[in-house]
Amino acid sequence: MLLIVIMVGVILSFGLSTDGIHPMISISNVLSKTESLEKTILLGVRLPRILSSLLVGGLLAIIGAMIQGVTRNPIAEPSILGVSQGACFFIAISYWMNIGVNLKTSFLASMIGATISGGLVILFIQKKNEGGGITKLLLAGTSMSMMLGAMTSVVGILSNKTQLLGFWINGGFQNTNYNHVGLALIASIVAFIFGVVQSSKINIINLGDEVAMGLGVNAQSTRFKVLIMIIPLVAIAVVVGKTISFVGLIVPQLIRLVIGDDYRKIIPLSFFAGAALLCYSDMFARTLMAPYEIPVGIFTSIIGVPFYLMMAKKEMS
Amino acid sequence: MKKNRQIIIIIGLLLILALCFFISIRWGTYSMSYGDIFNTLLGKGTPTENLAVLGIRLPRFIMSVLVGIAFSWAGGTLQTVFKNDLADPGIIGVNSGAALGAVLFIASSSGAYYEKLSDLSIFVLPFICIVSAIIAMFLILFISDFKTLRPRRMLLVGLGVNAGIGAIITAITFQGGVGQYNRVLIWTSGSIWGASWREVLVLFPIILISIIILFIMGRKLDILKLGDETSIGLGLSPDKLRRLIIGITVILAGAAVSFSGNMLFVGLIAPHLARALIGGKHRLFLPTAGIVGAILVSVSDTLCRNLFSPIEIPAGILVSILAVPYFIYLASKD
Repeated sequence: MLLIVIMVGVILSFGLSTDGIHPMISISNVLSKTESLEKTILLGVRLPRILSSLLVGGLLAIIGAMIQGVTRNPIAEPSILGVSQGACFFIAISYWMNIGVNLKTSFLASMIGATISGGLVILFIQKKNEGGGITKLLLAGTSMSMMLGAMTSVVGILSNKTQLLGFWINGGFQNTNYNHVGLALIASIVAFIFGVVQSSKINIINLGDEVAMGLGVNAQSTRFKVLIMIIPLVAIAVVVGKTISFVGLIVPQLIRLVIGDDYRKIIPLSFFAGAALLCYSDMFARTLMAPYEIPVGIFTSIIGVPFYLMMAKKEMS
Repeated sequence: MKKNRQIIIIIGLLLILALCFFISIRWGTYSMSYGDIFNTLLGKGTPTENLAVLGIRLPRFIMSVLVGIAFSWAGGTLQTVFKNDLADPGIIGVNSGAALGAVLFIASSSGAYYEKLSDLSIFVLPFICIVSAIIAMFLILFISDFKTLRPRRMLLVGLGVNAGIGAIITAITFQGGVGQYNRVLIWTSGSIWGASWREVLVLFPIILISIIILFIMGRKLDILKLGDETSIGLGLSPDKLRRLIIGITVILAGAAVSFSGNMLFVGLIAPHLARALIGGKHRLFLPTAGIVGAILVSVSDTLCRNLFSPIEIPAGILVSILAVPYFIYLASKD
């Protein structure tokens, strides 16, 4: 069923346009062999964008599911913990220092940022494993993500690139090309395989550290391994889709509501659901206020925050 | 002996504030000597000096003092009322509600964010902000189950509300795409940018009246801090009192937001410092917190205005950068 939703989303966003190409024409255009302006737009601009929104959506959802699993914290997510914002902050700095920003340099910057902020989060998690850790982790993470976001804005003002960095802060898929798609594809495949392989261990960790130890799984080291693995994945998600918040929270939670607490199913299904969610969000972001574009992260935040509030209410009681 | 120490602390803080005053008046693109400043303040300046000091820098300084006082009094009393050391009108989400009200109002009336507000709008704006702050407060209390008073849940909810409303504000103001991001930031991070005498005159009476009422209720706040049973025993009705006090703090915060945006953490840091300096008696510590808050905001504003001149960064961001590590420390402590 999810696959059908995704297919419809792809076709819709392929067809929906701000340049007046009729959906049916656009499809027939792509299928025809002649070169035309429409074909260039569709294949050169719109297709990579759709593909990267699908891949990044799936990637973020898997990352969210894995973090939630290993920290036993249903609200954890890279943007809530500030990892994405750390990556984004360093990308902003690389813009400021006027290093020619391309895929390579932005990936490098994003990697540095994600490692620093992710490292802080990991330190915090490893230290505060006992009860009450959930709320503390979230408070620390959220305030750190707020601060990093604000600092990114400062860099934007100082380098006179506020509009550009506005998209970096709030997420968006403009200017994505096939290189981005390739990068996201690699990351998605790695994340998918890694997630599926680890999922049975995550299931066990989810029962509690002592139980896990009894069953022969070292919770500490698995947790560490998964969290370390997540850092480069977040970095890639930020390079391709910029800072898109809350996807990693909404999707795994919805899946969990539907199919229960089994990470062997949650992780792969999250990938497809995340892909669908982001594909639709990006379509709306692109067309709703045309010719202007709304940052796609704004959409996911507006959907995600009520969700987050609901979770916070449920978890704390 | 102890009394002496308290007086010394308050005088010391006032001296620091006075120092901030001179630095903030003097430091700027148009530089002038302290002698010139005195002359100008006495009304003997050249037209340019008059404009720089009396027209721009002085109202701005006063505005930052007012905003600092409003947020720290609101934060200090909320910390007592919610029995929550980390409460702050910004963090629990009241400020962002007020900011959303302001943005919606400006977007619907003129679309010119912050700049050419008519005289009428200047009067209406605080009112709108206060109303939307009240709505936000109700919402937050509802979501976080006020009755059970779980401090950390309230903060989690507040941070979520902040993120959500921030996104909505961005969506509203970002539409045009070009150049409007600066204005988004003013509302989402807080800035004293563009303050003039008109705004000061509107804000001053609201804040003055609110803090006088809170000061009068200082003793009752002291009692409330001892716990609900004690308060009932001493003849107070804690729920009623709490409702009244929350109302006043929301008015303070909402009014301040209408001209400064959603400035976070001032209401957290200033009362904490004040309590450490002077103890927890409300009639002493709230005014002290007010002075500390005024120092904090005016220093941040002066720095943010001048450090990267001619570019200005929102003062609220500097406050956040200073405050977040402290907040994380407090939040992760037991």
